[in-house]
Amino acid sequence: MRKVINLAASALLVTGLVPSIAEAQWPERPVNIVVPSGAGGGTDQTGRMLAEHLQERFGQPFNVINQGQGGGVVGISSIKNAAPDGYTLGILYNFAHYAPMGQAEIDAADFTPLAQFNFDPAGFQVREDSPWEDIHQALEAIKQSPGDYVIACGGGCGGSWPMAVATMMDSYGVDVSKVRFVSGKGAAAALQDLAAGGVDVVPSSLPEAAPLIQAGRIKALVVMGEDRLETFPEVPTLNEATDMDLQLGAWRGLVAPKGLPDDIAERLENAMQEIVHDDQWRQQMTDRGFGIQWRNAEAFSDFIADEQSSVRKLIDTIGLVKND
Amino acid sequence: MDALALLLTPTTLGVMLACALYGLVIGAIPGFSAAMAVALMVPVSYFLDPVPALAGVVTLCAMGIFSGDIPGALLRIPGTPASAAYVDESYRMTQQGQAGLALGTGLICSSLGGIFGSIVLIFAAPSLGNLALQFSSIEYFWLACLGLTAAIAVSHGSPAKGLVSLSLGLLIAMVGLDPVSGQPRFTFGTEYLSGGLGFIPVLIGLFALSEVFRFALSPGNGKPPSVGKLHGLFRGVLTEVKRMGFQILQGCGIGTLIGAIPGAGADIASYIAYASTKKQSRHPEKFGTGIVDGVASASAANNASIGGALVPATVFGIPGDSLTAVIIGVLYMKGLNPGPTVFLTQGELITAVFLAFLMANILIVPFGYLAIRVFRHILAVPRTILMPLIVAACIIGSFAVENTVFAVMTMLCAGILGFFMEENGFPLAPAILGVVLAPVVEDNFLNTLVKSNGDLLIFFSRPIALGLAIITIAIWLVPPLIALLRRSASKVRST
Amino acid sequence: MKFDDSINGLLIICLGGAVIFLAQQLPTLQFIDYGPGFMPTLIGILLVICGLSVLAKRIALNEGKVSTWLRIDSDQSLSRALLPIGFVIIAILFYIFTVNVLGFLITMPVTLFSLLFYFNRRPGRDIAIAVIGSVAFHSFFYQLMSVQLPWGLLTPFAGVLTW
Repeated sequence: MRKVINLAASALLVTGLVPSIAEAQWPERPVNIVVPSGAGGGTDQTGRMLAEHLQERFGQPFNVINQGQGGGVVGISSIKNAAPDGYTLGILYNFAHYAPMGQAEIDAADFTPLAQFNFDPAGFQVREDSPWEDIHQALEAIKQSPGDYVIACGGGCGGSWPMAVATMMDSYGVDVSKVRFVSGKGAAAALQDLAAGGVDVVPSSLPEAAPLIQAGRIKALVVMGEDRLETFPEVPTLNEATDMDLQLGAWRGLVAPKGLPDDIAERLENAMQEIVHDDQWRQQMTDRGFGIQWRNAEAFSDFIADEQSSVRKLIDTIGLVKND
Repeated sequence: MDALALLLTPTTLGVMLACALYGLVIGAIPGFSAAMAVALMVPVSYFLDPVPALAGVVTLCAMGIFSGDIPGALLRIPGTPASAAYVDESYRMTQQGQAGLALGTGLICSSLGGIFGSIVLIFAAPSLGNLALQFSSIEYFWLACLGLTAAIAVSHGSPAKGLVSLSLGLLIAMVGLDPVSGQPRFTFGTEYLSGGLGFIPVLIGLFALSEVFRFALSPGNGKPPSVGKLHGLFRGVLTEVKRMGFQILQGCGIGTLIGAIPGAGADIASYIAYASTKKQSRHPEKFGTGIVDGVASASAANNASIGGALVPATVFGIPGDSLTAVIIGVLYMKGLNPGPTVFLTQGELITAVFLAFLMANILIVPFGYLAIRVFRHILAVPRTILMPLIVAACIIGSFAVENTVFAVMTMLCAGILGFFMEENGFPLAPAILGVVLAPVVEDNFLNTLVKSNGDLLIFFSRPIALGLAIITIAIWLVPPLIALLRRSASKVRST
Repeated sequence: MKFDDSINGLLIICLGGAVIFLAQQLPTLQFIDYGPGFMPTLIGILLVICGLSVLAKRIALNEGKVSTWLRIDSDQSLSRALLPIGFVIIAILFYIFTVNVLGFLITMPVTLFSLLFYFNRRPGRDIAIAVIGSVAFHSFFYQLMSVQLPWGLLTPFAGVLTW
């Protein structure tokens, strides 16, 4: 046993020395991409497509590591805590609620943003037999009696979809602290509950809602993006239906831990720019129902900082638990 | 017919063959699990064409769920949570020299259940899919309560200790971020615990590692039980299967229905099938002592449930359990976006996948037979070599599903807990049921109350919910009432 | 490692009590009087009731007479019999605490060999099994199924060793 401890101690010494000689030319060994989602989920799929294209450009394997425990808390924390040596990257998505909800200390400043590549505008889905014909009627009704309606969060309340719909209602003048939000096990389960009559509204991306829309069980009243979606030309944007100019939904971007050397960051950003403008990758994303949005490192960095402050304010307003 | 042509290509058949072997081997190795096998398929399937990828994944599910029975019967370590309900039963049979009968019956029933499930899937998918849309949080709550009653049936011995085991399972599932409010619960301020205790590491610890500890307690006198006459693997089986025809059919039905209800998968199906067979049996006291009846209907049910779970998965993209959640991911990844229209727009592809599933379930018999023949030699390996290797498999098996070293720690603690429980007469099977059902019971209870603003009457407000409520409450209250009446009646007579 | 049921009962009651206590610290939800503490409280109560029942049964069975508080199914003394269990636990803890530093390809063979040697006592064969087993696990999980087993010390060679 003593031998083992000695070995461990000397190992600690050696690992301290190794990286300095190893950083000759990044990447000279496989790179890990931490995906804070289970295998097969949406974030996982985008991560794998990205990994495939990064691998092509850098000539080293880019391995996807799935860590979806605790609604992404575990995965996002491990991106934050990794060494900023360019060998651990991660996919970041709407993260701003973890800290104000007391789930994990995660801040926009913990990361080196590299590029945003995806944005899926939130839809506003109701049952097919709902009396609401458009988003205006819906918002008006909710504004009249906010305590009468139940909105499903999809996953935990605080994630991308409930925040999108709450932001929209908030700017319409609805008292969001009176609206009841219920958590669930992902958008698919929430949409099923909608069809079964358990909730009144489910915000989610339109591709996620597509099966039940096709089945004639639910309808989408609005899509909170800049333009209508090609696949759902009949669903108006928020800007068309009301005059709120908001783009709300789920986004995904590539990040590294804080302190990534500039030259590596620059190479990754350039590679991401090529990938996002690569027709093959765009086709792959579109086929699987993911929206594409490009923001370079600087714009992405500003974007997540803004998003963080607005979400934190909103979480306090909604108040999921009694604070006494 | 075009669907069949898509299926019968060398690539597809080759991938199915590879996946069948992979599923059988992984399922049969203690410490690995079917859920891990399927999750690990995702990166591989990324590089395959749609039909081979999906045919491979469904084959893998079918084989993996069956193959979990093998280490259960031979080493008392269930390979999948779905085998946990009857692991005591089949291991007792092995100890009595009836391993051939236990495994043979399990094999035939798994295949029958799988075939039943796939036929329902092929012919009734769209209409059965509508069942899923009747279930809101109220119905789920009652269904989960019904599932909890199965804990009593699988705890042989003291009911109080069975309930303790169930509570410990429920408690394990409480750790982490509360799904309803997002509040950290029992995490004691550590980020590690925020992700909760992984289900697969807990399962591996409770069953596999605890078995290693039992071996370590007395390395010398752990004589492995003899397997018995394995060459007659099918001989006694057919008469047994004929005798239990009705129960097996019932197992198939229970499995398919429970599978088709999103959120309740193979695990719950096999527990409920076991409980219901025990309830109807003329000699329920023999359950838990090594009786083939318990194995038959439950192994039919867990394989049938995969077919059932594929119904809401393909029709609405709603996952039935953890396995189908991955399958849906692969469906999307391959551009076969689930939905009612997938049967129209890509009917051939989806039919090919269903046929592959049917074929896999038929192939369970020959493949499973080979697997049993190979893996029974596991008993011939000296335990002093086997057990260290099982420890290694447990470590890797927990790491591979969670991708965190903390998962190994979870597995170790669950192993110590499982060892203490076993030694002190607390059955393990109810604990697994507790881990599976705790989130279902809790989320649906709280979310339903949020919807009704705290009015408890909502739990009786919908027809299906009312029906499930009456069944559940009857099962809870009627037997003790009858016992009470009998006792007072005999008291009256004696005075 | 069998405890007398009176100890088991007391342990369960204590656990139940602790759970109930901790559950009271959790807040309730915004719109209803239930919350994250509700279900744990129920579980705690169930544990206390079951613990009492285990204890009561034990007392009723032989009126509180205790032969042994703790016994094991082994012909050895208690401390000797518990040694191998302790060894398995230490081996796994060794893996947990060194795998990220040393890497899987060093930690796993060491862990596996120490376990094999402890139980099997045939150094040559044990080394062979430990090394071949670890490499086989690594090839299958890392190379084929792309599970990211840590490289640790061997990190600089990760590029060369990946095929």
